[in-house]
Amino acid sequence: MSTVDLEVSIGRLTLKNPVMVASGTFGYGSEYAGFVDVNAIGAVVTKGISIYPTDGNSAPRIVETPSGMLNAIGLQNPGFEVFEREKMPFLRKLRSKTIVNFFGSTVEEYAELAGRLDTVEGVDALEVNISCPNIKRGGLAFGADPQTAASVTRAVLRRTDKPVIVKLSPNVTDIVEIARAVADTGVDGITLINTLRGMAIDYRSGRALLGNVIGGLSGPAIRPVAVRAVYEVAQALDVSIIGCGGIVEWPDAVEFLRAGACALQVGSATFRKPSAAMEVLQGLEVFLKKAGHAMVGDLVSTVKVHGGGHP
Amino acid sequence: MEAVHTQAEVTKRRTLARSTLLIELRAEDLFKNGQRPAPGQFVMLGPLKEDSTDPFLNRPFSIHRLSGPDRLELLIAVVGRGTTILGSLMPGDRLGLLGPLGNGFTFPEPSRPVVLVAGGLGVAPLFFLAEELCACGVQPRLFYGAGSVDLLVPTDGLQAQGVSVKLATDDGSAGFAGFVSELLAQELLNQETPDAYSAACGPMDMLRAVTDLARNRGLDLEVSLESRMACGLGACLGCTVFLSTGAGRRICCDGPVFRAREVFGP
Ligand SMILES: Cc1cc2nc3c(=O)[nH]c(=O)nc-3n(C[C@H](O)[C@H](O)[C@H](O)COP(=O)(O)OP(=O)(O)OC[C@H]3O[C@@H](n4cnc5c(N)ncnc54)[C@H](O)[C@@H]3O)c2cc1C
Ligand SMILES: Cc1cc2nc3c(=O)[nH]c(=O)nc-3n(C[C@H](O)[C@H](O)[C@H](O)COP(=O)(O)O)c2cc1C
Ligand code: FES
Repeated sequence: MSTVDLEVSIGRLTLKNPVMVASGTFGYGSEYAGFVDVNAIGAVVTKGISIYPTDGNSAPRIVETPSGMLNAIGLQNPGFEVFEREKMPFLRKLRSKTIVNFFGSTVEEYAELAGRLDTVEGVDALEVNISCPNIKRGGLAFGADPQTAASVTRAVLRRTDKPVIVKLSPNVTDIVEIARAVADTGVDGITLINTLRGMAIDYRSGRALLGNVIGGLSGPAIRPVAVRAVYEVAQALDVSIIGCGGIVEWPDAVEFLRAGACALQVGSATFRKPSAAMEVLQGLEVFLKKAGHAMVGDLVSTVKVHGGGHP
Repeated sequence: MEAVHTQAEVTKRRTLARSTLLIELRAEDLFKNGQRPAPGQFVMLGPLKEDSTDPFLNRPFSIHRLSGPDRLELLIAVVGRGTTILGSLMPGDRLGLLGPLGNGFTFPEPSRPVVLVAGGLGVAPLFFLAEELCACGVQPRLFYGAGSVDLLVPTDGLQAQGVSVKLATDDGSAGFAGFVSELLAQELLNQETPDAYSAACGPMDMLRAVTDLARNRGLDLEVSLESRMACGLGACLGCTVFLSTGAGRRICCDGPVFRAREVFGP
């Protein structure tokens, strides 16, 4: 078998391979270090941080749903200072890149935090979360409108020289419109997708199963929605896309590449199997080799659509 | 000890009470380098189905006993989809196991009297603690309550090791008729236990009632809590509980065992 070049570029950010772990599903990396070879993957995307500590929502915060789960964590995090002091030392030592996911409740907060992260050694890129369904202000409010999404992104780009990725929500009518507004600012890449707004009720008691009532759906249940979002944006725009949503095994990763993603994030699947992302990477490499591809890019946007007529 | 992610093999499966199974697993990785799990720690089991992502999440279970140099036992109440799948496991079947997880009980100095309070399946981790205490020459007292006699897990093995067991059932079909917290209140009135260590595990209402008792009687109490979990490792923040001070703690790794007064207030 031939060798495969796994390296991928997302704008100015280069990863040794296309597989990352998604924000909020891998903590700050150290939580999983005893079980898996974190250094094997392309990048760790951290749990989202804000300038000040955030407590998050009341319990229950998770509910299992068919082939997936709802979460309403509420972006609990220790705030920038504790993050830098306590979480960065581990991340800095990794041979995988570190992408810091962050959010704010005003454009100015996004900009200020981007400015602070810009000075932190070992942070290789920023992922701007304008798509969290679980906080009242901010989050999704910024990701649902093209102008607002673009102005948050521009404000962030002005404050940092590090590569910037913007993570979009599927909870919009036209994802291409939002993606275009964001891509036009010159970002390095776009992550598609964050969780879908969802809800579950105990039919007996009538109680909403999440403390926050509504939460974000993740897992294989959302994969078709994520693949569609990647496909639509890839067809319309020339921007690096990181595919995310329901990747459990390597064929799912191939599906995202074919739809138009150039890199991938494995999220909730890690909860089932800590080594999910590493196994996706191994499987993908073997697949590329067997198919005779020299690099990951050979698969990107290789979807074939049915040709109109009848068989 | 450091937690591991491993494949465990079912070595035994027995029904101990109504809808309650004992499952023995061989998981030698948990006992590597002379390490062993501690009472109060738990494991996550799953994926529940290798060839399907439904059910999606793994399930947490307390370590009920150590039954051999490479074996642990779990006590599993069949209450829903996941536990129904686990309940159909047979000797020889294998499944993923992550553990041991969590902090475990503070092991009391052997000189102190020990009072254990269990409600329902909350008895699972207290068996392990009771057996470890007996091995150190401490003879704990166990107050154990359940809905009715058919839900009680046999305790003769513990009694043979020197644990004194008092039972309670809601319907009076065995032991004291009423809640285990009421039984405990009655017993504590009859007996002074100044420097006792106590540990409780069971439904939230029971833990609250036992904490009130402990507060009044100056008992040093630890409680083991439950919550929905996804990762079991401190990464997802799905299991956060807010202490009486308002501080958030992850049940999976800051707990599941907490000082009762931290949880319910001083
Ligand atoms: C630290 C810890 C230790 C536990 N120890 C034991 C034990 O020793 N024996 C035992 O029988 N049970 C124990 N439980 C509870 C056990 O995990 C649940 O009963 C089980 O997950 C139910 O799964 P299910 O699919 O059958 O139920 P379903 O109701 O179908 O489960 C749906 C979802 O809810 C979650 N869930 C349901 N009930 C609980 C609960 N009480 N606590 C947490 N999550 C729940 C499940 O994990 C799953 O994600 C423990 C829970 C925790 C957190
Ligand atoms: C428990 C949990 C916490 C999450 N926290 C964040 C977060 O802090 N920031 C963010 O941008 N996305 C967050 N996400 C979304 C994931 O990064 C990912 O976009 C989503 O779960 C879809 O991928 P998956 O189906 O592979 O899980 C979280 C998801 C889960 C399940
Ligand atoms: S279960 Fe994920 S942090 Fe506790």
